[in-house]
Amino acid sequence: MASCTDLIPFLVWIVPIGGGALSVLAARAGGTARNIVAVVASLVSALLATSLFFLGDFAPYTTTGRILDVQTLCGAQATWIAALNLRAGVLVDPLTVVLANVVAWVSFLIMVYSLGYMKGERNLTRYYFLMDFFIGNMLLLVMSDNFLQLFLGWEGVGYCSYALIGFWHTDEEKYWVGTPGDQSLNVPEAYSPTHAGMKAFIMTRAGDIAFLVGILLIFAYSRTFNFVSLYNQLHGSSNNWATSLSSVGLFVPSAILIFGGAIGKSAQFPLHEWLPDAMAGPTSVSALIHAATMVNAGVFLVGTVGPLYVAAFSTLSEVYPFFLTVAAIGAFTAFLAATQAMVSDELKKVLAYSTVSQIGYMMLGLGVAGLSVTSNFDFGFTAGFFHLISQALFKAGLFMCAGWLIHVTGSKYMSEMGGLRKDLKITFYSMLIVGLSLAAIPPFSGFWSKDSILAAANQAGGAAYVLFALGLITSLITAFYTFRMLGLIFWGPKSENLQRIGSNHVGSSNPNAQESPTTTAAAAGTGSEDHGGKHGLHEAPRSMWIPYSILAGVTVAIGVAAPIFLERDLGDLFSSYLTYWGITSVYSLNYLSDLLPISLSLALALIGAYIGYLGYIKRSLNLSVLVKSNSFLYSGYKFFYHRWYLNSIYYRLFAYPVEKGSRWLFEKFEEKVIDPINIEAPSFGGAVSSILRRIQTGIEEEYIFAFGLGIALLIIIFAYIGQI
Amino acid sequence: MAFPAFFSGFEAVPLLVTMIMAVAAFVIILLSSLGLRARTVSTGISVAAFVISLALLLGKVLGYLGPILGPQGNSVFAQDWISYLFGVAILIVSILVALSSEDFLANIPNASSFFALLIFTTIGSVLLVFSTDLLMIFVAWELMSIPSYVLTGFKKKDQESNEAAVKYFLISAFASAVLLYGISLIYVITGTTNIYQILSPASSSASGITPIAVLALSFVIAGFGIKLSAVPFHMWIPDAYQGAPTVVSALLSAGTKGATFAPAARIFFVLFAGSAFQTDWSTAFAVLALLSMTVGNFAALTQRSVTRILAYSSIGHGGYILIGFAAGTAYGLTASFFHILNYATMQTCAFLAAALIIREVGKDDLLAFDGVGRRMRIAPIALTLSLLALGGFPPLNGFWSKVFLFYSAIGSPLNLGWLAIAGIINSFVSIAFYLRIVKHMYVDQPQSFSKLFESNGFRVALIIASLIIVGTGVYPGPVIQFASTTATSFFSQISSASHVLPAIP
Amino acid sequence: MVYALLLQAIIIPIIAAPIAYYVARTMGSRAAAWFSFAVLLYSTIALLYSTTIGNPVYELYPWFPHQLSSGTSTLSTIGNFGLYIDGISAPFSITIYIICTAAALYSLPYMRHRISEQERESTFATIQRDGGTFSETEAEQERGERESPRLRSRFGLYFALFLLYSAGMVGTVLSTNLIELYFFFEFMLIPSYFLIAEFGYGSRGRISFMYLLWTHIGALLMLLSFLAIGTVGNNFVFLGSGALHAPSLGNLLPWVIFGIVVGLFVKLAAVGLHIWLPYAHAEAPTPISALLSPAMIGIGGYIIIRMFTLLLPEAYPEIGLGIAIWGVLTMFYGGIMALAQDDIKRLFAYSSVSQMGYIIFGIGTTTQHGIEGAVFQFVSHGTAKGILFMVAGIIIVQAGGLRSIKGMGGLSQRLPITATCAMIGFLGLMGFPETNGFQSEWLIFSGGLQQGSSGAGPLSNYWLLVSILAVISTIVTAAYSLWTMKRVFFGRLPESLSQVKEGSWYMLAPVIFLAAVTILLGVLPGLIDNYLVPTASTLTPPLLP
Repeated sequence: MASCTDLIPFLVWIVPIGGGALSVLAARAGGTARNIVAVVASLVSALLATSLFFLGDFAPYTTTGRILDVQTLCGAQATWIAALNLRAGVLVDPLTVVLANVVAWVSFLIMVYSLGYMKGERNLTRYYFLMDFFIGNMLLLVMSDNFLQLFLGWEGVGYCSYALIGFWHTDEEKYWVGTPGDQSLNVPEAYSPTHAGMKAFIMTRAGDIAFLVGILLIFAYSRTFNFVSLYNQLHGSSNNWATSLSSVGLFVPSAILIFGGAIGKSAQFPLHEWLPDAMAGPTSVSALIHAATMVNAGVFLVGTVGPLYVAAFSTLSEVYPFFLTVAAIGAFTAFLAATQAMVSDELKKVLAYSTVSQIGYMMLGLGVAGLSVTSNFDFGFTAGFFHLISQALFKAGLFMCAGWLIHVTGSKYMSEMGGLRKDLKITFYSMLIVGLSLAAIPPFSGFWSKDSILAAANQAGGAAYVLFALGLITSLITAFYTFRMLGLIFWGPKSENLQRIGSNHVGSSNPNAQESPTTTAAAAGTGSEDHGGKHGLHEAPRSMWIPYSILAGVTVAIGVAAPIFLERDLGDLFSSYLTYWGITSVYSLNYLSDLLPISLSLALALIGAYIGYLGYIKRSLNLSVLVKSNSFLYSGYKFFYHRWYLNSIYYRLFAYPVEKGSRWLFEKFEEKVIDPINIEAPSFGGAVSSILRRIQTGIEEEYIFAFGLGIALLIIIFAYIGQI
Repeated sequence: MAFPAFFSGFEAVPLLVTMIMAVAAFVIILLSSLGLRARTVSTGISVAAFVISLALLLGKVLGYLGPILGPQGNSVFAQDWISYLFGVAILIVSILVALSSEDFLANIPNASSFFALLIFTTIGSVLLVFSTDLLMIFVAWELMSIPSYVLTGFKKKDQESNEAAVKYFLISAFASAVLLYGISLIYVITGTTNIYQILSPASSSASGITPIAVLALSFVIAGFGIKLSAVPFHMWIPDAYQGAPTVVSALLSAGTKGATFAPAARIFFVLFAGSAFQTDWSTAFAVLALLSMTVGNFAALTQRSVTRILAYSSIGHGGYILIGFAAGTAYGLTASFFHILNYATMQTCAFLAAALIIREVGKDDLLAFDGVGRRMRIAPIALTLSLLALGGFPPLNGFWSKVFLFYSAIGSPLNLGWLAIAGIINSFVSIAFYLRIVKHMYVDQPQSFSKLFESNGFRVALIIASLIIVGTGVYPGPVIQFASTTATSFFSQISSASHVLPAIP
Repeated sequence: MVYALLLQAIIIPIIAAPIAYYVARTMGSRAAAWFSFAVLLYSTIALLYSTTIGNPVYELYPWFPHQLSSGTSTLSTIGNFGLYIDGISAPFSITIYIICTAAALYSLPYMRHRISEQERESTFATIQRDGGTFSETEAEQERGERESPRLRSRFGLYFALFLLYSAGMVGTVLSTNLIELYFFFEFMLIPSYFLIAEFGYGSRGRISFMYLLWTHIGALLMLLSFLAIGTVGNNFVFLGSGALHAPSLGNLLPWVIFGIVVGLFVKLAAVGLHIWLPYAHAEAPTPISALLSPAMIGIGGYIIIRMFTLLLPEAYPEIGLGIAIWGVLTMFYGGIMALAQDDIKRLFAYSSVSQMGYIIFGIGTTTQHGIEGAVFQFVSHGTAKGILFMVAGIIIVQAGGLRSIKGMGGLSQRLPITATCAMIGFLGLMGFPETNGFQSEWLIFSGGLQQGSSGAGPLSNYWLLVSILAVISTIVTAAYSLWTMKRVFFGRLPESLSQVKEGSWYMLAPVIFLAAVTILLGVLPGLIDNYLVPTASTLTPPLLP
């Protein structure tokens, strides 16, 4: 029976979108009204998301999953596209509710953070609208009960990402990402915000296209986009969409195509190159979109379709290629991005690489889950999502801290910070906690989540051992770059830049900033006039530090709760969810039996952390000298610094040829071949015409001659016909 | 014969019409010799005569003056639908020409004799379309031609006008001779000069076609070809049209040319349906149609003189009309008749509008037409409309008849699809030069912005013509019905004489 | 035949055309614009209302003598003329009128700009277009004062032609008879020719002529096919009562299909036959570009859909595949050409070529989804390209005739509303969900992929490849869209543009309205689908469901 509580899952995503629109109207009444509307919309959405936990018989999730659509919405019979039999609906199940809560609450915290961070910027109406619109679309994506609606949210967040990366669309040099002058293979690697936004949009678009093709292939057989219908069809008959697709050899391709969407959105190899440059946006945006929420959409997508495929085929061989692809790409991306994070000097870029890397872990977890379908699907599945949750929290925290750091130091480079632990205590401790979580040091959340992924990879066995090993190495690197980052920022001597700020409390923030090449692009996030080094090194305003200290606290809390009950409860929850769809799977985490992978990864993380400690906290080991002195290490450094040259290769392979090719085609074909037809065709007529004109001599005798010829012609015609 | 009985049932409409016009012509000459040379009076009288004549013909067509019966026995004249259809077309042209001549002759002496000659030409044309006897056809033909020579050379002091008249006369004389020879050959073969008598079964005993018949056919076609402006008998046309006073060109290209199609239809569809001539003359027509269209339209492409462009357009349209003849079906004739009716207004309108503009700007060069659209009001619009109609654009009358013509070719049992394709290509080519004139008038910048004078006579003529063009285009039904009735009744005459069309499977 | 709504919708603008001229002469340009707007609005509402009466709505009018019969032979009839609106013609016709209605108001400030610019050009040939300066006449017009009779008659001519053009386009879509269809198809050509020739840019005489020539030759090819159909079927009626159905053309069929496809591909500007489009669309006065580009050229797609359902007794995947490949080539070619453009209107022109590729592809799929998508694509491209051309026009008017993208940049600082609308337009173009562009594109691609995954025919692998290529082409669209957005609206504002202001509401309101429609249809595609799908599912060749 329909009741008005069914409206809530809809409101979860409608409220922020509506709030965004409302904030545009409220902007007429003033900036404060606009901000309040925007933030409150986000808060309401978060509260609604939480209320989903209490909606009906949801916890513990039993066989009566609540699947809602408009049909049951307060008795309303409205459908979305009636003629095509498509309905708009929401799915309230453990996966969506958990994710919706993470998204909604992190979003709310970042909205609060934005109040302080974006204060004094111009065009804030656009900012708040887009942020709210993003939140709404993200929740729409998470809560959709069908592919098409999901795709709406999917592209919606993509657009917000594009628009917010390019928020400072005037493209002043200070907003650029990358160090001016950087180039590899003659491809410049510093990008303006609008360029970065465009790059993000087009690159994710490539993935989205694969995604769209994938769902349309499924649609071609199932005639539905609805997840529930897809499951029901699987159970309804042995001749279903999955077997039909499989019979024409398109099952695995379609699955991998859908995964292509995840690759794009979650910045996995080979479509990972957009995310580091997305850091051109405001840091609050990076925290929200490019760390905590949108980039996880791909993981969510794999988590949504993965069980579908497992439910489709009990035999491993059918789905094995898909899950192996997911796991392999995840593990490789984790390694790839981690190596790049080791060498970057830009704080936000380190975090961006780290995000890519961590999402790689999640993909690894979800991938290995399917490699041993029946035994421990739930294990990897839970591990992946647990890591998603913990990463969302600690990475959002890291970004928010970074936002303040960049703001207060007036530089985006870590080398221009240093020794800040005394000046910014709250920021320091918050960042330390979330950083340790990233480095997977117990007892913080990151440790438990990542290690269960590794444990799952270990359990899967077979090919997954390689991936397991890759994951282990990555965890060493992760710990290293985390400590490098923390050390560079908070320990060691203060950089020149900071000393200048410390001594110069008034006047323009940094008189030399406009001239010195390293600092011209440094002032990302310093749009606000009353901050940014003007007043020296000081702690963040409350609206900013409260959100990130909350996140640090939550990281600790989860870290403590995880081994005791949280992880197992999460596993049980997902287990019942999977069981509902007919996947028999029991959550099987056992810390004792998985002692080996856990201790291995901890050991490696500690090694990495120790190197980082030596190099950047204790500073007894001068790594930069070491690297520069050794040509092998130095070329490795260059290789990592230039993103394995992948970025420049992409530009050389795709962007430049298309740009040049289009001009070539235009000049050589369109203007040389097609256009002349316009001129040639009439001149052909003209040529014929002038021949005919020449006959017209104006001499009577010739006219009479022609007359005679005409008679002759007629006689010939008649004679010819007569003979026949 | 009692006078009332003579007119009973208005069977004597053609006689009445010619008498009215003849009287009008003599009145004009009389008044002129009495010293009353005012152009307005002459115009008034001639227009009145034409309008009354047109009213009589239309009264007959619409059934107010009794039904149209068809050819009766041995008479030299036939009152069938064809004669009325062509009569209407000729009179419309004559009215338009007369209306605009009032102003056109402003600086030319002897205006009244111009009108008399115009009326005589019209009388000749009307007689021609009513004639059913070969000799009568020849007489009417000459009656029509001789005044038109004079009209062509009417500008006595103008070198070009004189030259045009001479050319026209020479070629026409030659054509008359050839036509007469052809007619005599027909008489040799059939023993009669009456077209409908030749239909009788007695004369159709011979089988196959003799060389004499071939000669007869060829000579008749060639003779008519001069007036029909069929290529390669068209050579005189551009020169004559360019040299003649432009209103006379309108008369020549629409009036006398249109009229010639009537005897052509009679001779070919009736006379040559006789088995003595049983041959596929359609193919000859198809070839002539193709040549005329192609030469006319392509040659016009690079002309710089507007009158020459219109002259070539006239040649091209002669080709279009011949498509319907070549199709050899009632449908084809419907299309041809329809197109003749439309062509009469389109071409007259185009020539008259061009006449006015040329007179005002002083030259018939395209460049002189630059920006005329901003300097005059009615004439450029009328010219644009008529050119678009000639090009076959909706919603103008030329569109419909062209569609019908091409359709009839495709639907013809003779597999004339190629002719339709050629026609369509030509139609495409033709818009190039039609629109070139339009472009010069509207797009190009004029040398001066001063307004040019438009007289009322021209205005009335052009407005009437434009209204007919648009009206027929928007609601073509009645005109198509007229053409269709004409064609079908014509065909039923043939079939009533138990003849089928020659060589049509 | 309730109130003869369809007839009204076509006849009233035609009748109003001379009145619009008169209104402009006596009451000035503003009155003429509002008059045209009112007329078109009424016609739009008439069409919208007619769709609520039923599906289809059919009106029959005797125009010709029905039968030309004679003793010996029955002559083929042209047949009666009717007007027919169903799920396929409604989206086409209503979109056309909506854009026309919006463009009518938009024309007022734009044509003020254009006409006074032309007057200046013609009067003082030496005066160059200098950025942002308003001539005295223009300033006077701005206040609505003292328009000279000459200017007024220019406006009168413009609006009269505008109304005729609009009616011609809708007439084509509502026709039920092949000859009637051809009639309107050519009918719309003449006013549009004059609009370009009279008010266009550049060498407008030559360009308008080229436009007319090429589209005319396409039309004539189509006519040939129509005549062949009419000859064989002895009937020209293809919709409504007594309609032809699958005339047995025999050996003629390939030729007829060839004539129709190639003839209409000229109109659709399929690659290779697109010669005329970039010039015509770039050099037409911008409100007319906004009609030419989205509204007029797509009509070719409409006719192909109708002809295929008429002629092909069953789905023809072979023909379909060829068409689909051509469509994909068109998508890529147009998109890549758009990347190379510097003139903003020419860029949009090439973008239209690319977008027509989607329609062609959708038709080629010969699936229900593909056809639905093609129809929907007309709507979405209509709104999106309408927005974009109007945006280009706003820039032209406000920045003193600026068209080169090189000279632009950072305009979103000065024109925030325009920039927002442009973004929505571009999003629609690139098939972004939550705009109508996506709703059409997923249907189109779904059609192709259904062919591709059917696994039955030997062609399915080709279909799969072609469909995936088609989907990939949206990247090209996204690339040129975002790049244009970046070059025009983002980045540094050149000094010369620092005084640019938002245009008047006459220009902004239509753009905002179209943007709203774009989003509305993206969120609620049912507004179109619910009317379209029932018709598409009954199309005669058995399409894939």
